[in-house]
Amino acid sequence: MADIDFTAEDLDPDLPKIGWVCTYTPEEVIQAAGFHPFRILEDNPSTRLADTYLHHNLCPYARSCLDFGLKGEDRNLKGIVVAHSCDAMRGLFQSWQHYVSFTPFVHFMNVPKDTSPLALDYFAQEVQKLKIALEDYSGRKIGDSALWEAVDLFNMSRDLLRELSALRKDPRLPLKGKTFYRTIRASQKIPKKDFNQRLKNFIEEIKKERGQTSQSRGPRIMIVGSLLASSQLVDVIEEAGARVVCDDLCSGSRYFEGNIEKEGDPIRAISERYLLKAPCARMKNTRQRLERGKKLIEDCQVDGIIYQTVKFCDNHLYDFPIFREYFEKENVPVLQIEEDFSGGNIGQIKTRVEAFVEML
Amino acid sequence: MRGKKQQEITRDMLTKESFFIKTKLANKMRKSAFRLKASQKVTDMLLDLNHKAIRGGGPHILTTIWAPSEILYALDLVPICVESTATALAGLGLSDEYLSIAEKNFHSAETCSVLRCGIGVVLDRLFPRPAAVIASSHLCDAGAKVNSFASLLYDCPYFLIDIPQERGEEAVAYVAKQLEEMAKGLSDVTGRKLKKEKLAVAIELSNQARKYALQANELRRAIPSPMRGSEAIGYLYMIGAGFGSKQAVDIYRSMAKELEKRVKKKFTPLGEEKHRLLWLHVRPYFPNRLFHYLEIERKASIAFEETNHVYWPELDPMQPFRSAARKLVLNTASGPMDDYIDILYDLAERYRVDGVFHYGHWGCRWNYGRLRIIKDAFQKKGIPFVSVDCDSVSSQDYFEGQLNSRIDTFLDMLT
Repeated sequence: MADIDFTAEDLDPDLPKIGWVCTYTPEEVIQAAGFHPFRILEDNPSTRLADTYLHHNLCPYARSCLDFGLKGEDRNLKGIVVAHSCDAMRGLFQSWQHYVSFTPFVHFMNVPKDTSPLALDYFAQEVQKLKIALEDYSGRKIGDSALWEAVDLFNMSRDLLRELSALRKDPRLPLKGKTFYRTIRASQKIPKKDFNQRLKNFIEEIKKERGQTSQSRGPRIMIVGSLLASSQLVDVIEEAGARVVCDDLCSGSRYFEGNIEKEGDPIRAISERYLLKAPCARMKNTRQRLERGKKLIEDCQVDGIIYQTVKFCDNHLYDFPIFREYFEKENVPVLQIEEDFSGGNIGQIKTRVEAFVEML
Repeated sequence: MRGKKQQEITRDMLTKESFFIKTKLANKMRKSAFRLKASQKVTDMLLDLNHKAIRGGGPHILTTIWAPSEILYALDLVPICVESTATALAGLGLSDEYLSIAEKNFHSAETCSVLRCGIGVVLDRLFPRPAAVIASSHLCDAGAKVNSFASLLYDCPYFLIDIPQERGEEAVAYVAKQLEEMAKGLSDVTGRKLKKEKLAVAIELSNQARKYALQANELRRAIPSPMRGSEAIGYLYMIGAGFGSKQAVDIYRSMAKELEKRVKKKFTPLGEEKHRLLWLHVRPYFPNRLFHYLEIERKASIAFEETNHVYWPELDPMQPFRSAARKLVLNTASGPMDDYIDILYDLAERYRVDGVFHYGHWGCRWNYGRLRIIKDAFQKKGIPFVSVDCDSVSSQDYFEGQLNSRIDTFLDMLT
């Protein structure tokens, strides 16, 4: 079965990095400033050090990001951009600012919850402020051409990731869910130029293998939620005989959906793509999320939804009853699964997923 | 859901007509440890607004706390604050029932209980359909999500005031434009035209209330403390939803007058004051003996609480939206941590406290996100600090014995 291997060696050890934590962060601006935008999301996330600073009723992802900073092992990490996506991220920023001393650049970016023209104007100001802050820190001006160059690079990544994602619908292709989500994770960590080339080759390779090893023809699942800490949940779904054909995840389609239109002012164009992208539960318009989910269900012929929440992720927790009611009216069953980043509750998750898949 | 009869009894309890409120509860409150007349007026105002919303008396708007109340009063709308409703229900011993309604409808038990109780209220349709729902985002994600849920359930317009975590003029301008849009939207929905003169009056009333609130806060610096902090925390309702109304002016004027008399007489409702504390965050609203133990038995006076801090400058009637926006942006629940710490240091100094008591509310992400920084800040200054993990409206995690032991250990450390 086709696989793609991304390892730690893929990163140039001397590449100065700026970390980010939320997909509302315009990576293109960081790239254009001469830094490698790098999502802080470890393979085996820990919260041991961070638990002293952030209360245990805060999302484990935010705590694991702080933990990463407190460990201070990645000396190429020059800074972090925290987009204000939620209360936990606000807490992360405050704690990083106070307790992580080795990163000279710590930037907080307001992200409106609305997508009105007024909100977009404000967000464009915030993106501009990020640009200026990076210029001040690096001592280098960021020209429009550098921004457009970064836009090309990231648009290409998004094109390729969408192409890969669409392949999930075809059961004759040997694309495992685990491989797919590992690829997304790699795209958020590895320099885009290298990543794009490797993904292009990988997609060609998979297409050639059409029909050679088929995927399960069991129930087709959509995962909705925040972000996957690992591919554990996807593995469990596949082991139960079902297949993940699409998602609405921060570590999935919300990362790569929609490109930046290459016209006008680059900051404005970047801002439009990021604020108007497939919405996270943090945004005001819940109906838009429901409609997007409905379209995905139709396009991918989804049989059931697994609504995944990271423990204490309020925005997704509050939307769950709305999703459940809406999609059950559409005759699409919904199962809620909560992940705590420790992987400790996997046995329980397995039992519930198996029962759900069987029911489908 | 609850039965119709139960619902009706609860509605009655939440309105000014309530037999329960008029007699038993009110008498109990009046008799309780030298309560100010102004404090009874706060309760009356809440009941009056509930009455208008439930029994008819003007279109009501479901809000989150710290929504721009001046604009709502200028439009003659009735603000019903989701958090205040939850805390009122907790006071009546009914919050658990509403939490249970929310949980039975798949709302996670790990979210903020105050807002989850609000969801129960919405699901039970305790209040009639509001003309609109508004929320401001500076405090937390949960308020915006819960009121969004309410707008979907009631199928009514939802205005979200998106408030950045910065205090510059760009943020003020952004919020001011949203307030203008919200005012226009509310006007369209309710058919009530927003007149400049009425807005100017509401702004003027807000400024008057602010002036008396500052006077009261100044008087509370006296030693011994002239007012019980447990009582004063109840004024959060006023700060959060009362400004811009005539009642707020009357309440704070009355509060300042009563406190002035007490200060002249060096009167303290505690009888004796052994310790002075600064109270942070919220309080338990369900029946409890925490304050009795702390204030009456251990003679630790809550000299001041952060919720009553007047953090905004006088509003400008010539620039109503801009100054209302500035008030929102300056809220201490949001904005840079260093600004907040400076305010806390200032309060600790002004009120000459011996220690700081933080009442943690389980499920409150924004507050727990900054707790360690607050604790370290006081430690740096050598001011003793204690934080207890409890809840505001759910009594399930309230263990009196444990809490009293924490209080004892803390107070013993102060002496």
